[in-house]
Amino acid sequence: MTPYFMTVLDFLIRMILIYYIAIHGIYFILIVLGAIEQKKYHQGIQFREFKRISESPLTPPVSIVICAYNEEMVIVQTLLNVLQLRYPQFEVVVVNDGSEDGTLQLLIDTFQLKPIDKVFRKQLQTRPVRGVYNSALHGNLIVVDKENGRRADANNAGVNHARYPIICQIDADCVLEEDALLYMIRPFLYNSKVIAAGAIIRPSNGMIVENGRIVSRSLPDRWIPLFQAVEYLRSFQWARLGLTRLKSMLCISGAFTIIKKEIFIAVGGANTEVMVDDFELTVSLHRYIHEHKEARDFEITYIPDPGCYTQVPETFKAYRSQRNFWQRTILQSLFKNRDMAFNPRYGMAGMFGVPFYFIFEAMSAVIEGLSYLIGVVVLLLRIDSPTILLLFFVFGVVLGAFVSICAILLHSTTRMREENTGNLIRLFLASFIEQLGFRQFHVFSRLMGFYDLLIRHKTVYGYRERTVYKSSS
Amino acid sequence: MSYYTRIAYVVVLLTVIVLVLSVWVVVFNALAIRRQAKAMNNRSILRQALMSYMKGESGAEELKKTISGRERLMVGLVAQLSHELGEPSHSMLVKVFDMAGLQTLVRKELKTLSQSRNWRLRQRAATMLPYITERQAVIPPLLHALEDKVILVRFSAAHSLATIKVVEAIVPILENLSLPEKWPIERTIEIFLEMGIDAVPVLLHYLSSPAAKDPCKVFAISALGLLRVTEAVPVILDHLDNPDKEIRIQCAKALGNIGASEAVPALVASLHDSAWEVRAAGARSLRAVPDDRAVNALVGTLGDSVWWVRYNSADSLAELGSSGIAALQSALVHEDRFAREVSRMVLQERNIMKSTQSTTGS
Repeated sequence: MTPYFMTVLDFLIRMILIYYIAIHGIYFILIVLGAIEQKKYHQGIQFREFKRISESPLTPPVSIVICAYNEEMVIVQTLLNVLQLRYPQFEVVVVNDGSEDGTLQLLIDTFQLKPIDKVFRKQLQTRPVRGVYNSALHGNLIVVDKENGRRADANNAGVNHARYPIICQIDADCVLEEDALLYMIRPFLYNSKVIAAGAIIRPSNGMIVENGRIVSRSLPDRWIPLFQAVEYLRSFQWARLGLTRLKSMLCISGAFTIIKKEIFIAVGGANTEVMVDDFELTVSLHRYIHEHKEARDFEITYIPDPGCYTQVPETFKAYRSQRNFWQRTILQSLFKNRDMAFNPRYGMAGMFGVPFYFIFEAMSAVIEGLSYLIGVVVLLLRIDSPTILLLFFVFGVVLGAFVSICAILLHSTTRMREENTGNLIRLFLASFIEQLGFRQFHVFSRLMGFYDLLIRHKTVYGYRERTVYKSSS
Repeated sequence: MSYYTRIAYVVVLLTVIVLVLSVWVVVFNALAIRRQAKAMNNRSILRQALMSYMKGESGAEELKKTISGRERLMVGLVAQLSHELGEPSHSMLVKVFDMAGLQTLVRKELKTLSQSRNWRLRQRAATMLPYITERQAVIPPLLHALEDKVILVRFSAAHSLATIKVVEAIVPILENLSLPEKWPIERTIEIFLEMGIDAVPVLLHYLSSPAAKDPCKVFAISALGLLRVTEAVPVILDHLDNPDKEIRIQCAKALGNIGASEAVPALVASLHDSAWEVRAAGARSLRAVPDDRAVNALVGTLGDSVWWVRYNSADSLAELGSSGIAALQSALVHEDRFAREVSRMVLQERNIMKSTQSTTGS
């Protein structure tokens, strides 16, 4: 081994160590910031406030847009769920995005859909619409059947058909809490400068849903979704809230977003040129805020109430496909918006948000993959003893578990805490066990995302699975 | 100490922290669940005791005994019961505070409202006070809270004043909550709607007063419109030519909400306003009064340069019945393309005319 090689190796090891400490340190700070925001949020909710919102004639009406592509397994429960939301006035616009399964027929049969001649303002360009249907059972349910054009295109078609000034976009595999819309609309009511909001999303695997109603909330039974439950706790519940505090939250999940229609249209709607639209839409909103003088004091907010539950992958195959896709989408969007990085024109979003997402979200798989590679090299060339390698590995595991446990600790201070100590212990176990194998699989899936984007230029989602909700019987 | 030894120490330290934290979280969670269950149980016992007392099924001494040790829960519970059961129970529940010697709780809330540095606590006090003390005792501190530097505290105080129908609070509410920029107009108007018809004379008097401020007038006019006060029409008409665009918009909207026929000429005139928002509001409001003058004027704005004015005009024509629909059908061959398109769109939307290109947009 040349001294030059050893110097480079030593330098790399030190850099990786610093990176690990920095990423976990930043996540820890974000989690603490998120907890402070959550406390403020709950202190700010006043006696009978949601009741007042639900009864006020001045609460703005909302159009719920649901894009459905091959969703026959879940779409009926999702619709039954949203049609029972507690909210003064809303409509549901389902966009059947050229499904190849029986989604449309199922909707026609279940909700007694009838074709209508609906005229709409085509404010956003979309793939051709084949037909519009209205439900004979629910006057506020519209189904738009269109040619396939991915979620962004379907969202735009839904917004074209939406009547109301506020748009709520949800995924077809989501179920909402009965008061979810009331939680989401609240910041818009007290601040006319709020233009969009996201909310906590949690896995729905393990929940019991009957006739669209959430009967019981429990942790997933299987390990793969359980690991993701810990991850969602870390990132959706706390870190995104912390990032919102820093005006740097660049991804309102498309699974549950609420946005002013005029702003959605002003930013050109969902971007159909990227693989997935939610990250790109949030970045567009930040751009809009910083590029328009009149929009300078507009705000994007995050609601720390558990409003939405989504199905997370239950098999390695589906998980690998999802993470591969997420990695490609974040890389694509960050590359597309690279001009924002360290650009003071974009405020905190440019100075912190974009660099943070690039260094600690997009690149983390590469750095972690590199650390494993170095470990193998060191072991094969017998540069250091296996004990030292093990030491580094344990360091990574303990650091990861520390951040997860902080997230669980804060989770226990809220009203969303686990009411079953057994479940809490399962969460702890998951936060340790995920570091031993599952995390490495996660890194591998994301590295494949790099490969698929940069070498294979792959843009399709890949393998996806849906399961029916558990029922009490 | 070598580099690796230092890392080893950090690993050991972190491992200890993680393990301690884990145990602590389990214990903390278990204690929190227990505390929550205990609080719910106490709340339920207290609620039953209060209900029995109010029904005359139990005596004061028995109630005092139940309250003892559970004082902390009283403010929230009394507020909830008072809200659920309405006015007669409210007076009784306030007396419970006196009888059980809980005046310290009331004094504490009053002190919080006026002195606390935490605005969320001030806001909570402003919300809870009307439920736990006599009306007269709470009015001055709530009126004072209308000048709080945090708008949400002012808002909660205003809501509380509206709940107990304090009409003398209307002008201070207007002056402290009629804010441009971030604060949405609807929130302040909700307060007047909660106050109901009692607010009308004060709002009318305010609008006629020379001291009235323009931003406040916007709120007053809008509230009168939503309360559908016909006596307000002359006052609102007086403001329809105000130089402030926002006032003109709210006047046009309010006249539509009230639906008075004497407003038609003024609304027709508003269709020629320089601000498109006023024209759009006027066009929408004209649907409220079936009148031929409205039909003729709305046909004229079918070709307006702004889509919303055109759409509202067409939509109002469709709402005005047979004469309006006939006018829309005639407009299908209008020389102006905009007028033709918007008429076709509205007729299709209402299934009056079948679409040939129904889903291609317009």
